[in-house]
Amino acid sequence: MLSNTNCGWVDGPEELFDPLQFAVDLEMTDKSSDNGVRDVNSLKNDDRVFISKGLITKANGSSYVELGLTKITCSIYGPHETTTDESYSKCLLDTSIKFSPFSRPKRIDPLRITYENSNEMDDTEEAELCSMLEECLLPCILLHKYPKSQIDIIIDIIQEDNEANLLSAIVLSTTVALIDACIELYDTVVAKSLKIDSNLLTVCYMPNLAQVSSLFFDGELTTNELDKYVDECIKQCHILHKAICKVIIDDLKNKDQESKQTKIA
Amino acid sequence: MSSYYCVPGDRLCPADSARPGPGTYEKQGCIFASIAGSIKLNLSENELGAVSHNKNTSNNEKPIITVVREEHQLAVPTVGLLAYCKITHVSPRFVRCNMFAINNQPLKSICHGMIKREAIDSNNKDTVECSQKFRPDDIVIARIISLGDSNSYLLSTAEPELGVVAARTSTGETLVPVACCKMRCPKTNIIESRKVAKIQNDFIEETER
Repeated sequence: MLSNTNCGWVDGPEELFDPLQFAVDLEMTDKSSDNGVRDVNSLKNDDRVFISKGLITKANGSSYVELGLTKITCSIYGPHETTTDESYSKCLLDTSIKFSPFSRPKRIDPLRITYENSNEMDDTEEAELCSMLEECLLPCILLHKYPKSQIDIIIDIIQEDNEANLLSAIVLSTTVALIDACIELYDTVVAKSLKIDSNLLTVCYMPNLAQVSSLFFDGELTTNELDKYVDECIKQCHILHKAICKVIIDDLKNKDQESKQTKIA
Repeated sequence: MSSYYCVPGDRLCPADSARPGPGTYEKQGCIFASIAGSIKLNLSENELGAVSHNKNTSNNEKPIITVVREEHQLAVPTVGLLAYCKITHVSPRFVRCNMFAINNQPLKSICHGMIKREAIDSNNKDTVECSQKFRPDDIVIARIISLGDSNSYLLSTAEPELGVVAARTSTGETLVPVACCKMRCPKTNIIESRKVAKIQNDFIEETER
């Protein structure tokens, strides 16, 4: 029998914490924009946001985000030296998204994801989310500052509530983790998804530059309707952006105060 | 002293009132923050001199705006910076090494480097023998001259200030530098040849910057 230390396994964390102590409660109840469009999100829970960062100490940057009931952790490793031959004047992004086996009411087989019901998730969904995430992150990272390096983004979906929140929560957690990892960004990207009947619209938005980094739309809508919903998404993105700013600036202030106190002591 | 904090994308100031430093970028005539941290304004080095000499360009009089985060500074190998490395392999044409720190900042993960035979010494380039300049496990300061190929960065020690800073004999005794190309074992007095770094004050300042 092999001992645990020999095969590189970790027995578990050395210390245990109450998970609630990491949660920053930000109830984002927006009462000003009650113009009927918000009816599409009938659940009030969909707007609740919890953001916290720096949970995974081994990673360069990490975050934990709850959007509604969707719970996601993101960890960033790197930038580190890449071994691939592809363009090394710029940085490479390597994203991996994993659904936990218990993230959905029906158990997901972590090794082989196959479903008889075609409406359910198929094995390409994780890869599809990865490519969507890369598409909306690439415009906002200063890739030329990290030549010949690679940034690994590892995302764990702990619980999925509804598909409208999923991509939005993934983008949110990745942004917070990238900021935590001190990787240079053009802007803080936030994403908001709206589900209109069977149509799913996701807008990834950079609030300070007022640019849409990417837009995903699945379904049928008239151009006027689409305009209206995109505007609504952008409005919601501003609220999420404020939440991110609050968490990060509070965290910076706390750390500064701690360092001052230790200097005095 | 209270400090101002920012998140990536915050507009700091118009581009004509300051110069962008680390942690910031310039776009559309404005300077934006690119990392989260506290905002610092540094007066440029020529600031004091520029007041008396009006000849200096206005560019020198602008302060540099930077965003700093104390606990989290990432070192990225960039052309022109100094790297601390440990020699891993010596062959007749080149020397391989592992970089473990850049400009006095430790790297999170080691990077592979290579010093070609022509880049070892500025004198007598053609007669250089790699094995007479470096041995495996020597600690070397070198300058990154190119990003190199997919495997390794290209380094150079062709400056008097660059080269071996710490080395041991095969028996594990610490060598003492005696000349620009010689190191002596303090116990046996055996002379071993190395490309020794000449540590100078201005060089120490450069690594501390």
